[in-house]
Amino acid sequence: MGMNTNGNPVLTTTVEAFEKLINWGRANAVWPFQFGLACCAIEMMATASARFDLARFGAEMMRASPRQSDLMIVAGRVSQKMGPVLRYLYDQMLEPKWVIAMGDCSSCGGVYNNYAVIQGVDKIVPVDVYVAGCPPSPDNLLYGFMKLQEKIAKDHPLRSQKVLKELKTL
Amino acid sequence: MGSPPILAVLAVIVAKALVVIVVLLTAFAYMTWLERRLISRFQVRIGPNRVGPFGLMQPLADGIKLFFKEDFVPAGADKVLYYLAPGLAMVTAFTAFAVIPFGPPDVQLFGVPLFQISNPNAGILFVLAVTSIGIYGIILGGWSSNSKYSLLGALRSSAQLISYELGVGLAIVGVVLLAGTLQLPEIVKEQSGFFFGFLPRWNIFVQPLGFLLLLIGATAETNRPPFDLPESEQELVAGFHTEYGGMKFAAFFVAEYVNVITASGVATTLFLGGWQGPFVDQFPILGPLWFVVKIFAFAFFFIWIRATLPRIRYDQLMDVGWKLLVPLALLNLAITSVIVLIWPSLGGGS
Amino acid sequence: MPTLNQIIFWFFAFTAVASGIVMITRQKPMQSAIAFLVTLLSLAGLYLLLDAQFVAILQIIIYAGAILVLILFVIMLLHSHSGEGSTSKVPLQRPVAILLSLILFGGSIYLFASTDFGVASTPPSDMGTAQNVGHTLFDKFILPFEVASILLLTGLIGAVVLAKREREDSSNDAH
Repeated sequence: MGMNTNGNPVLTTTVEAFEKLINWGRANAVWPFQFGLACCAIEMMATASARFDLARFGAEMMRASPRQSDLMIVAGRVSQKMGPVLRYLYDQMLEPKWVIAMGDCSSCGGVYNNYAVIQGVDKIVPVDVYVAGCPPSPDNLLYGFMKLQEKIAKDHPLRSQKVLKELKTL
Repeated sequence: MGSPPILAVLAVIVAKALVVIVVLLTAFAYMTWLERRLISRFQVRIGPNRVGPFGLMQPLADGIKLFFKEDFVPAGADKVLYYLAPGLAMVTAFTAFAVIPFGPPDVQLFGVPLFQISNPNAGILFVLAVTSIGIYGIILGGWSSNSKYSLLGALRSSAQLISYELGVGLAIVGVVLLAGTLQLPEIVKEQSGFFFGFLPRWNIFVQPLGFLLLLIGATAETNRPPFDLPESEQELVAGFHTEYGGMKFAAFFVAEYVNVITASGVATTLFLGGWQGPFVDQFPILGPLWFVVKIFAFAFFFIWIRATLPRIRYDQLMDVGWKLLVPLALLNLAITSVIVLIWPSLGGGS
Repeated sequence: MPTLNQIIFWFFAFTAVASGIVMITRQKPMQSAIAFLVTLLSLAGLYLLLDAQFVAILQIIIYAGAILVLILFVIMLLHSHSGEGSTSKVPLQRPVAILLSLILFGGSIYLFASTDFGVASTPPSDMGTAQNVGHTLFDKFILPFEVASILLLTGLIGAVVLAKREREDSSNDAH
């Protein structure tokens, strides 16, 4: 759905207030999808446990079913065999959904510059935040997560496509 | 004095039901918050603390997010049953709370007791009946999703639920024998007074085995860990609600936690003296307060168990249900019957 | 102006018959089972109107809550591929079935119309409570009660023996 407020100030303010509320809800209740593939998964687990605690941001409900999660943290290298599986799971997630490419291997292939590893997961799914590191330390991943929250806060979930284009050109 | 106008009576009943529904929904929301904070504390973490003071707005954020998720039906799913299942689960979870008394029955408005929604003759059997219907929510959810993980989760869950219903029912019969009636306000009344002057006359002191069996059975009936194999992540992706997202998943979520609250309510009423506590006779409004305190104690206990114990394997789960719970419950029943026969003053009723 | 009692009766009666019709006209057995659930719940409502509270609750706990669940198990385990019914090859099945059911239906209508039922005496309103049913069951009907228990015990033992024998047979084949 999308709304075109036609510049009406009262309608615009109300819609913006609602959008802020929706964005606040979505940013503070992100449920990650457990997609630890390789060594970065260990750092993801460390982020979710005692010292760094991803749960403080409301992201502790790591659901195993793609239907119930919002965020796919691709933690690790994606081999050519795993590529279609990853795309399939990404398609099964419900809108709105985001992807964090954690670590060098999922961002650009990392140390594995060969025929067996997909050189960057953004070749198969649209990535929102890239977290660099091999593996990125948990503080790094938390910083990436907070950047994602900022990105979600800038979204316009209630506007129509035409209005979004206009807002982008401003 | 003539009988009160029927419209006033209806209005009081509807208002009571609405208040209870709102309170249950709020209790569900903050039970999720409590669970996440407590489990984090048990695991030496902090838990949600950024979303509002102490993370108290976290359930609100979860709710908003789930509300605005995409509405979705899996390919090949049976649409009618797919939409019906979470609704059925949620409705039965709330309905089961209708017979639980949370305050003294003599506080009335227009002749309608204010602290219990309804007092049928079958009393505690009503809760058993409604939870039996709640099983259909799980079965239909698993079947209609057209996915093998969901079907397996639904089959396991329904087998688990009907097996533990036996143990729970038999554990309850011990209390019913002592009280001589099925009606819950009477059972609470039978627990007033003191043993030896200081120990409250609660059924937990007279029926410790029954209490233990009810606790284990209730944990299994509500699919709580360590009996949460039907929802386990490592084995079944997410069990019967694998293919549910957004608001329908929220409905299953609500149903599970409200079931936990109802089970705590039943255990409180049957074994911990319900709404009774100090100074309730002088200030009847304290009745609901004591009830809430006891429910909170049970909720804490359920969360504590979740944080502590590992999950039970499915065949072990069925073994415990049939080979441990049912014989022990029958033993409890036999002992209680013999005692009530020999000393009729201990048992109640005619 | 019909009384509240009559309105509720017609509501439950209509729901029972309607869900019965839905049950026999569905293609998918799962939907038939759910229609059956609605029928059972309407019957429980009718029992309540007749002041048989204990029987109503037991109807839900036992029939709707345990027996129907087991029926659903069978459906889920055996029809998990298609979810649809089987096709049968008995010749002339449909015309013969229609004829026989019309005869049965006509016979019942004739019997009901030609009997003078009279008005029964109203039983006391607490006849259906748990206490009264319990007293009567263990007082006047203790022998049928015990015989029914033995029947159920026979069924239980038979089921366990059959299941065990199948497992032994299959494990014998494996060796």
